[in-house]
Amino acid sequence: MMTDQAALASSEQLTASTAPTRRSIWQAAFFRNRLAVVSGVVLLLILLMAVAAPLLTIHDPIAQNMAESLQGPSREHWLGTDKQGRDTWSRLVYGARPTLAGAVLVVLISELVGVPLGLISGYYGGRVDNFIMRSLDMLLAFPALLLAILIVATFGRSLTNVVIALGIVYIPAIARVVRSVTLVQRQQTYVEAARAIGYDDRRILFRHLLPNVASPIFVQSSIDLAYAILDIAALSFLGLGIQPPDPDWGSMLAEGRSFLLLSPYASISAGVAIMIAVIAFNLFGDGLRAQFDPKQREI
Amino acid sequence: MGCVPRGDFALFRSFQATHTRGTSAERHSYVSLFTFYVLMLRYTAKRLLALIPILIFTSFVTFELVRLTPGDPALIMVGGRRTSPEVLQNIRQKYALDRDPISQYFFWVGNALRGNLGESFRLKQNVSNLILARLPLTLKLITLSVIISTLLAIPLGILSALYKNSWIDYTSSLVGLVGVSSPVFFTGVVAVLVFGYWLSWLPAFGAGKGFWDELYHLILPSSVLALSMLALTARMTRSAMLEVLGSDYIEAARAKGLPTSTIVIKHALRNALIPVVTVASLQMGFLLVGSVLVEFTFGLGGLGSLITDGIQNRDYPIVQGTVLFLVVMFALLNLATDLLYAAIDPRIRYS
Repeated sequence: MMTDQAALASSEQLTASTAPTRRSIWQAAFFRNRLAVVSGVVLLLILLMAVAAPLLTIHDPIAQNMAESLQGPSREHWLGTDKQGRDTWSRLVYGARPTLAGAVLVVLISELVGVPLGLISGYYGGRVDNFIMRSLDMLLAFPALLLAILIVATFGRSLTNVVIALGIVYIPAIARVVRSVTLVQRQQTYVEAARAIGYDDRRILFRHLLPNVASPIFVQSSIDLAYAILDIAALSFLGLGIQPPDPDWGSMLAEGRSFLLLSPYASISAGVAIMIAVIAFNLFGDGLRAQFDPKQREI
Repeated sequence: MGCVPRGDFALFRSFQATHTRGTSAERHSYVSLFTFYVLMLRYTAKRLLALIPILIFTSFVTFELVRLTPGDPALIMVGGRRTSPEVLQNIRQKYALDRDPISQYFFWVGNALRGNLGESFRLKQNVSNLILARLPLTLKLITLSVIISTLLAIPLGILSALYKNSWIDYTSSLVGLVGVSSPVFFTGVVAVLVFGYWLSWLPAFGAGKGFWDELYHLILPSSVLALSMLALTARMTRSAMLEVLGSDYIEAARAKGLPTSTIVIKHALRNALIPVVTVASLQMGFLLVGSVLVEFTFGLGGLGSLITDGIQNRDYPIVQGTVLFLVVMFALLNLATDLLYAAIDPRIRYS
């Protein structure tokens, strides 16, 4: 049986290496990787844009200038100005800061809680697992946007509250991923060896298991970052996130709606920025997934 | 999970994973009709029981979270005006505000179970009536977008399966990626700009009057909502079609010399549609949430705008009541989907 399989596998490899279809497979893999690489570069550029915001802009993003209200694009104002005469390009560049920082914080908060929960749930199993997973199911029963809206409406509108609310909402997703990988990993010999040596559970969980579940966490982080950007933008759009006059992509999109016909640049550029960032994080996550383990695509 | 309707690839993958495991003989294993009913009944009972703690938890969180808001609800109720302590005391007694938070919750839930979700602070109307008045619009919006996305996505999925790795396949996955990654409110703004203002084909704001006019007004909003779930349905159709097209009975049909169109439509599509329909029903839940954003974007007076307006005006009974209603709808839709899955896939029933 074993030899049969081995023979089959090697013959498959042989035919694969000579068959004309091999080239197209190679191209497909290359295609996907190239997309991931491109999206990684795009992400770096966006990050650089957020960090180097003062170097890329000449206008203050919140300085009003009524004399220059609702101008079209010009050399002075690359993307025109909004109703208060504020430079759209400056607002776009500075707006990347709260959006990106917020998304990163959302993912960090959810991982700070979700990763230990997933590890514990997967490692101990049984009643502990049941309790943790059932509790997280309850959190999942809430449509995420509604829970976030509820939390933000209760504790006040601010970026901080949006980040905390979304951080809570994102816990179940990451905990589930970590748990499912831990379930497999705890059967491995190295865990048994660590236990035989007499290490305590905490050491096994965080020094032995955690590094081995890291790659799915990275993949999930990238996907979660995409959704965090979308969700932060959605809440800002509803007026629950960052408060005026500070710029942020979601609120720029919302503010631009009221003078869409006169000057759509603010709305459109903010929306395109959100889209590019989300697509880049999605493709980057897909690339990471394929990179780490082709078999883990189901997670 | 996040907020914007999750027509995402992760979901697609997990679905694909559950539906491609096992041989097709296992999946379509024959059980007697009686066994099927017993198993389904047992599964339904199990799922209904699991719903109870979820409903208790969500209603508790909904109620207590809003209770945590700073400010005396009785004062907010009279609109912050100066009133005599007796009036305030009366209000507190009427709404059980003088009791501890836990018994307040039971008071509220007891009323909610009888269909009474309290009275709006600002509109001075029964919240249940408000919800019932706003519900039809949201339902129409969601139904229309399911219809639009299904009508577009299934042909798109079939074409990308038939012409795998062709330009049409790549275009459809590009459209899918854009649909998933573009927030509904951005797609909405672009749609308003292009179809509402520049081309003036469709009304951009408001809900219209009368059935047909309303439908006409809903075309743009529901198309926007549809785009966000188009991707998932199209990719589901594609992978299901690819799987079916590779199966033996399609081969047999080809060998018989049937025309391709007959094979695709009569033999392949029928079987491929099962998972697609399930996904469409699953997305109803996500659409419920997406409609909040779309209604805000297009200025439609549905359930979503009831919530956003309620928050704007600190009208807590409305927020509590509508969120509770949506959460219950969401839970029931999820349950319905799970039951549908179980009816289709025997491995879920048995576990």
